[in-house]
Amino acid sequence: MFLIVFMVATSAHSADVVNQSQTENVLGRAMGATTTSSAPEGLQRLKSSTALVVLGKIIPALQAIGGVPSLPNEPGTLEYYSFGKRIFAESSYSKGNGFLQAEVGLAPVEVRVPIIKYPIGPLVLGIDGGVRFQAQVRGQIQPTIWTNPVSNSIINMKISGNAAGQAFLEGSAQLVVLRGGLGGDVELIDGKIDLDSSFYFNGTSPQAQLSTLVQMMYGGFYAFADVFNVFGWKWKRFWKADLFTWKGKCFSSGKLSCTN
Amino acid sequence: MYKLKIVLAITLLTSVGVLIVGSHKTEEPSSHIERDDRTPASRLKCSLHSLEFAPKPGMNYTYSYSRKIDFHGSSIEPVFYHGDLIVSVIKTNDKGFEAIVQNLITENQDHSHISLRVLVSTNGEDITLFQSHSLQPDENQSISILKDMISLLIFSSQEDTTGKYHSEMKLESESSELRNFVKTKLTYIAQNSPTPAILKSKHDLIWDSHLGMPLTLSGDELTQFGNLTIQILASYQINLTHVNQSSNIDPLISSLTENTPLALELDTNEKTDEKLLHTMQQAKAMDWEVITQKLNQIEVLNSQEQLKVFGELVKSLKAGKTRVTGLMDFLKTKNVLKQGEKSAIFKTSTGALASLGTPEAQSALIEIYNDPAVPTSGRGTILSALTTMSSPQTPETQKQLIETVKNESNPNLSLGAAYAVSAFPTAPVVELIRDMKHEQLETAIDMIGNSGSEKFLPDLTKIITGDNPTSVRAKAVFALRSIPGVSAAQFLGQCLSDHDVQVRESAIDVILSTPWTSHYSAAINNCISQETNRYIRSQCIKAHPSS
Repeated sequence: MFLIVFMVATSAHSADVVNQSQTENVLGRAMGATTTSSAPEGLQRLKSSTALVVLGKIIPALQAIGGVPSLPNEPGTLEYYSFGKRIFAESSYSKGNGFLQAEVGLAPVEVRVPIIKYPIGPLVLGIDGGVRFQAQVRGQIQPTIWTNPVSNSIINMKISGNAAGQAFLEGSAQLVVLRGGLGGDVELIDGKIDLDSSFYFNGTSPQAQLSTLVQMMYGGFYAFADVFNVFGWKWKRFWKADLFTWKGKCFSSGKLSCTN
Repeated sequence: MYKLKIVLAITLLTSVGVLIVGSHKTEEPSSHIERDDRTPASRLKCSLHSLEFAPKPGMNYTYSYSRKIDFHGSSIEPVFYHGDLIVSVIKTNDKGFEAIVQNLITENQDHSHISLRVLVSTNGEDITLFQSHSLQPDENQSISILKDMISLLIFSSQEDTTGKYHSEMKLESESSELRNFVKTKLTYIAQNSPTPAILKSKHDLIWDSHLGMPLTLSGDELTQFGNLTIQILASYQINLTHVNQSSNIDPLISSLTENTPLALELDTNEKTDEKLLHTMQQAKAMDWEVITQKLNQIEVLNSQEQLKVFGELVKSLKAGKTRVTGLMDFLKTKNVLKQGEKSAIFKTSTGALASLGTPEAQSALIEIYNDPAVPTSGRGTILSALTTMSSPQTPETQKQLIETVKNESNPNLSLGAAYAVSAFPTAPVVELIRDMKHEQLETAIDMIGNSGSEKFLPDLTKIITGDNPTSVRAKAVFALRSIPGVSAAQFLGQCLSDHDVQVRESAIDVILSTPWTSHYSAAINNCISQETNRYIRSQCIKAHPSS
């Protein structure tokens, strides 16, 4: 009933200091995760995000954005968004040395995606599912301020954190001529990210180091399918299986390694 | 009896154009269709008004039908069934007609009396259904099939068992009495729901204007969901076989009159599989002791295992209101409130309450928030959970959050409450945002972004086009991320050619995070050819639908 399409897509753009993205998709592109970290050239910003895909719906689970101030003695910004919403962060700022830290501890969230409707001729298949996600993120901005000249000042910015997301299908697949059931959990993503960067005010290009360790797509679903036998007006199970099992895929970069 | 007309209809459909003389006389004879009597399709004006349902009260219109469903790309055997559909017309007026529709499925003699009462507007665009009683699961099958047959029979309807759809309909050819309409379904109009692609669709109707009812219907439809490789080909043939005086439908009329309307769209919420139901019931009915044992051990689990326990806790809480109280007692006994977000038990429990989202759960979250033992980080965790919660906030929750925005001395908590309350933009929240002072402009923009309310589009437009610092303008562009509608999309496109690189970056971030719309096309093409910042240009290439 369902076919697996296993895709791996990684990209890095030489145009940027850091722009690394890892994506894993299965079931066509109906399920997967993407993690992206970037310090785009010319933008004085640091960004890190995790998006989950379940039943074709992209869910922006977490986004962290650090902004370099236009002057070294002004405060920078650290903003966190979860599921598209700006969220609370416990932040502290020291006017004396311009140090800013903001931390987020996200309680697990369960988000159900709208039921998929799929017509089977006169009838409709509905699949119910969702994602669970939790994360811990910390951002820091540490300026090194030079007064003479001020343009020699440096802003160090870090975003580090870990995030875990999993998809679930609860087997509410329901239709009339043909029906299928699904159950189980898949670990979409389990990762650690350390993005460390330095921004300058004298025209020097920013520098950034990214360390990531991301495990994606581990787990499985079981499934069955029944066909409606109109002659007997009864359900007949024609297929039953421990559906998909994924052994997972690990990505690492920088100081972190999958083998440790 | 209607074989002659049907043969003529087939002639009309296939444009053979030969006079067919049948061996049966119709009850209500139509004039013979001569080849010259037909008008070429190219010269016909499409008029849906030429399709007006006008059946006669007290008459039965009996159709024979067959339905076949093929599953391309799989080994599943085709499904085929057939039967009779009887439309017993109760009454008609200038707005439409009312009828009892019975479906006699040959393969299912057990449910030979499955019927629905239908109200159909004259143009066939509005259908209202009523059922007689709560259905047994196996009766549901028959009702679903009956709904499907009604959606096919009422040809000009823009809705089927999947939902509403866009379509094209045209008059292909006509004779003095018969008209051949062709309908093509284009796309389903989904409300926040992924829908299947319609790969091929052709529905033919031969309309008998003398009868004011369809004479024959046939069609094929090929659909596919996402990238799944199974394609479903559903085809059908429906022919009017006879029209006669109806009798003995009074009991049906009375049983179907007083009930509540039923959607044509199938109910996909019903869970029917016994094994899965059992699995789900097991999870729901999980002994509270087992759940609390798992919670007790959660600190030593890895994050994925913690999420699984969290999922089980959510299911368990859904099993009964008393379990919220049980969880509160557990948290107090464990003395974890003072640890706040450092405690996995605290985080998992507050997350589960927010995911449950019921008034009881929200009340429990507010109780925890107000507990003096809970540290700032723990309160922040609750505020974040209330921000991302799917269920709407109760008035009590909103009241607490608004008070926190206004009176909380800790600026982080006050901001967190502002973000949370704006996620559900009721009237008091809109008022709160509008009342913010100029120095709170950035907070107000963040709140607008969380609200996703179209009401604030003029405010954001003013901020973005006004003389504001770049960071403020860029933030306002980012606040467009959840505002629906064409105006917001068009304005986002304009922001992509702003003179300021930060504003353009915000615009492309939003475009990439929202579903593609053609309103972005010109701006994205322009960005690809003109953008000087390599990062933004690369993102524009990524956003282009061809990538």
